[in-house]
Amino acid sequence: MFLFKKNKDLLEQYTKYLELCAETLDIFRKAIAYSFENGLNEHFEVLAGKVHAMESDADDIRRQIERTMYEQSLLPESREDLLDIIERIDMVPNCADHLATLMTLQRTPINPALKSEIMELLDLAIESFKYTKEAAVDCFLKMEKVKGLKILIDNNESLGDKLEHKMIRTVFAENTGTGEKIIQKDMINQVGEICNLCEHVMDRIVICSIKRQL
Amino acid sequence: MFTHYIQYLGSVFMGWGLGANDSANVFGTAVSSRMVNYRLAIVLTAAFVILGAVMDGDAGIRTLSKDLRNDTAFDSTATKADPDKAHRKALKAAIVISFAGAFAVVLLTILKMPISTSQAVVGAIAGIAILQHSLNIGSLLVIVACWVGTPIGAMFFTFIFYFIFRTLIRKIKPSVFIYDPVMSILLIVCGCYGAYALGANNVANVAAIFVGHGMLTVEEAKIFGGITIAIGVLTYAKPVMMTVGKSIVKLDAFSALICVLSQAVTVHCYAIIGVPVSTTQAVVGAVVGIGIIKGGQTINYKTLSYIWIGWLATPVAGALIAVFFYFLANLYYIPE
Repeated sequence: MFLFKKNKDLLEQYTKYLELCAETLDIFRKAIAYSFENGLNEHFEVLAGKVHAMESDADDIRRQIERTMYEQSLLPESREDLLDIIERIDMVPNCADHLATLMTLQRTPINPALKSEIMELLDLAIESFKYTKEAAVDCFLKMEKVKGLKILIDNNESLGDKLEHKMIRTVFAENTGTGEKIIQKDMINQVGEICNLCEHVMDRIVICSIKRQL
Repeated sequence: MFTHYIQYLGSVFMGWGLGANDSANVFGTAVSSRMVNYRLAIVLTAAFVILGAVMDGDAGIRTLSKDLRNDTAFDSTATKADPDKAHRKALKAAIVISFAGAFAVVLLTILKMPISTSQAVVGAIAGIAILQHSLNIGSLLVIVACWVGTPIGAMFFTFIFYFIFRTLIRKIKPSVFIYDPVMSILLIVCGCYGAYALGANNVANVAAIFVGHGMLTVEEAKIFGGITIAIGVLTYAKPVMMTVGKSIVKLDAFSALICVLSQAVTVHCYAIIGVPVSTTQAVVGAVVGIGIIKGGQTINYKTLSYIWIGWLATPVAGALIAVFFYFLANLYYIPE
């Protein structure tokens, strides 16, 4: 019973961690939407600070989960797989935090001409993370469900790539300086990276579920 | 007084070797893949070995103490023209057999070779029985047939348990947070059952020879055998545990559980029948069964062949060492 209790605590921590990552992305979306409407003012900085604080909280929970896992509440093979998945998931809020911080430091907003594509890309990223979260919670032994979610994420990633390419073309077609173009391109890539990271997490989850296939 | 205890020394060594060797078959896969803590594993194994020996060890003791020989050549309680001479002869044979079996087991244990203590003891008994022209060929053949049947039986149980458990898991589809603790608990429960079966089946290897020669009662033999095996488990189980667990095949929790359960059921069946068999043969049969189900690519054939060589060498080594010791024990200095 002690083992079940330990794993129940671990599952609670893990779920909380995934929720926090998802919330970080939501706040990040709000911050980007706000920057399009009002520019990089003080309120944007508050939102960016919130993204950073949530990312940092998620890191704390991740470390706590890792400690709990190594107190032998899971079998070693599950422990290693879960650890790997958590570390990959951790890159998602990191990516959002990185862009929000970069925008604050560089005082460079995303080109307003890209607003609809960027918001669409962010929606795709948030949706992809939702699927990733669903798969990551409890899909090690549910191969068919994992495969279905993987297809959805692949589609989102492919759509995201198209949007990214379109936006980069737009940026480089504009009559601005090369430095500005490179900064814009980097920011677009950073937003697009969230979909890619979700795909990487999903790839790992698929392998874990294949390994457990009986 | 001191010489009285010396005569049991060979069997103490035998029990120690058996415990050190065969506990690997009970918790080896689970411990080597870090699913079960080593200390917990050896304490549980030791306790359940003693329990198994005391509760279910009678049939095997009967087989090795009486059925393997045609006559009462070694029996000190039998009516003889010179009972004192018969007693000395029986005592000598018992000590030689126990030391020869123990020597073979300890030697191969130090070589980290997972061997069969049953084969070492039966080899030693058969070696002396051949010298005494008292070998019951029929009983020996039955025992050898059971040895052959052990890995096959374990493989058979592996197929059955694998498909039953797989169907259950596929139906329930538990979360990893439920699946893992359930697996850990089942591994411990099946390990305990495996230890019980080990004690029940293999206590005869350690103590039956003294029952046959009227030196211990069946009850005393069961307690004596159980405790000596437990000492081996507690003091020297780790090296062989790691060899068995890691070298043959890298097992996942599910396969490890099926292997332990299959070998435990097989060995317990033979304990009830009264034929001491090798838990190593049973576990290897189970592991090969898993390999067959999974397509054979998981089996380390080099290690497997190494184990096979050990199996063939053990009874032969047991018999030859027994014959050699018996020869030494019968050398007398006759002054001119």
